[in-house]
Amino acid sequence: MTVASQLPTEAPKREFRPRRGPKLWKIATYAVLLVFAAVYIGPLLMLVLTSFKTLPEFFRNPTGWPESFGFGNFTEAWDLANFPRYLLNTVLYTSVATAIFVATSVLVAFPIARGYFKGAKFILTLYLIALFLPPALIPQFQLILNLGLFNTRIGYILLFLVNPIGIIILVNYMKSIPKELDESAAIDGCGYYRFIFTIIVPLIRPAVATVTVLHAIGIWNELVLPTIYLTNDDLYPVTRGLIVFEGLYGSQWPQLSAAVIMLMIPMLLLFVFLQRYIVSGLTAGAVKG
Amino acid sequence: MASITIDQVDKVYPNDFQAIHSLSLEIEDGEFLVLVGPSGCGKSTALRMVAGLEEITAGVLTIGDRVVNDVEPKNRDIAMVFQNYALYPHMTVRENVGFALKLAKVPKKEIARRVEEAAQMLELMEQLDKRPGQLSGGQRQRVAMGRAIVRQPAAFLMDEPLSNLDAKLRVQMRADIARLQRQLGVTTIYVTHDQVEAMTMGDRVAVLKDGFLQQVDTPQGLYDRPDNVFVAAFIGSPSMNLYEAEIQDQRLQLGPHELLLPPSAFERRPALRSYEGKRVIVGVRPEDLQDASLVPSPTSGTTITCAVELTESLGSEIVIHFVLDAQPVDPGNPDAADDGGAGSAVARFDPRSRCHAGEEVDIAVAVENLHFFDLDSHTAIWG
Repeated sequence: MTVASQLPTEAPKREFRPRRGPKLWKIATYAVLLVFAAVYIGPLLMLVLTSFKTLPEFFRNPTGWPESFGFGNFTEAWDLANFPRYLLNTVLYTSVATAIFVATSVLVAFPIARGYFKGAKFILTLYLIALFLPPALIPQFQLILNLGLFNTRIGYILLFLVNPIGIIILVNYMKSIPKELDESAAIDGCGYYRFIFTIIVPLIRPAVATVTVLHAIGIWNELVLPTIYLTNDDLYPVTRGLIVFEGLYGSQWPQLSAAVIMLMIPMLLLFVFLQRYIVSGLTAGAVKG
Repeated sequence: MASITIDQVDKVYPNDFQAIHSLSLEIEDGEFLVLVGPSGCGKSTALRMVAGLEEITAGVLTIGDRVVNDVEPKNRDIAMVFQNYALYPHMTVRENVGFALKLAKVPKKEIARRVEEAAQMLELMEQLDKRPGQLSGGQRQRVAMGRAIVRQPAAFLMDEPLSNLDAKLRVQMRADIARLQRQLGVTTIYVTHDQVEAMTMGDRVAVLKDGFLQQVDTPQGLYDRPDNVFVAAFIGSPSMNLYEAEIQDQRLQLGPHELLLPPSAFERRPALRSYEGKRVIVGVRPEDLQDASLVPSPTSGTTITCAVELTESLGSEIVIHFVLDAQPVDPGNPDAADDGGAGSAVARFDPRSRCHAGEEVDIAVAVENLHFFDLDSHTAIWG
């Protein structure tokens, strides 16, 4: 009897939430999400739509649908911004600097992660502090100038060989690899570099992918540094080439949009290609395994 | 294959902590030596020094005829099996097992042959193309063994290789490893904290505590003639009961109980006579205590009456925890802090015993098997 009398009083307690609550809550949630989606997707959509418009059409109707979908802006932008030559420069800078950065970072991060030398923790702290420091533009400029590397490809690539966040991501990921692997490899007769590149790198693929994408995107999209360090237009990356669309009395928005979309595509492809690793790379360390 | 000699080896860490104190051990060619001790006793450090993963502070380490103090791990001709197996997760079993051979530039055909030979020996043929992540714990353990075997090293070094396995698998792998070692005849040093592993696997067992070697002997030798209180308590499960007692007129005063010592006890330990009238530590193994009602004709003066606290029936025997009202002795095993509890002694009775918790029981003590230790030095009293 006692059990039976308890049941009805307990049951409503569990379903205490008002009936309409969940539905309203859901609607509110979706409304907020929609606003966020609009904020994110809106500019992208506008970029795509603008790239198909003529300039007068854009001024008449900046946010609306284009009258026709032609690729005129893309071909014009391709030539005007000197894509064939500048794209080659961008690819060169990005691939060389990223490759050197990733290879050297792995070599730097490993002994720090393992604490294989005195002061490893201190070095890591320095990298962490570096994250919060403003870019040292003027001393860096002086350095490149005095090295005689101003306005050279090598000088420009040198600017992108260090990235503290990359080191920190790699160090944290490497910490999850058991130290016994190092010891086992030492007994097996595996040399240091071979161990790093054939054992460690495959095991930290997510972190390497994350660092690669972060770093490559940074170089690919850089505008300020080429403006400062490169004056010879043979050496310009594409971003610098886009300046042709900025006129004295107004900008060529449709062509600029088309150029920006073309500029985006390679990095999007890289991201899609490495995406399956990146997600686990960014969350690594939060949950082991 | 080779012998290993550890001669007066010390290990001092940069923070001045001395993990190993003047360790000397001789491991013969083909011998299976087990290093055993509680956590922090230095057994793994000792093994890692043999492997070359830790530097040797002082002393000489010889493998075969070669002093290897300053030889790189890869050039010591040893293979190590780690507690967590240390398999390369991104390589298949075949690649894992053959990795060291590949590094040693062994011809591909030879690698394939040796890998398959090892796989057959370890029943891993069907797992060869799987990755470690797809294997069970026991299989991973066997892959780790396979990696050691294919190298045909002078010595195997094993660092608690079974501690990640469940109890049942551990028993099976224990036998497998011991059998494999005998079959291959490779000198082996095996580190464990589990005295059952030590007793069942080793040709000889070295007991370490706080970086000091306590005793090296065959498993039975350690069990029958422990050199000190620590070894006496560490080897054997349930462990030896150790109490303070006094010897008077060939009698042993153990708390309120009086036991008559047979002449044989003094004959086997002449030095015991000099302890007349002094306090000693007396040790009695649980199997040397029996339900007096089951002993056909108990000698007078060898029975004590105690209150039973707890009985654990294991089918083949009954483990009895009872109160012995004498001063217990701490053998100094840091891992056994909660073993039994002060004042509680353990006996292994025949399953026919009908005693129950809360009752008093007459216990027959096999006085001829008692162990005696010096109260101050904790060393065994023999000749």
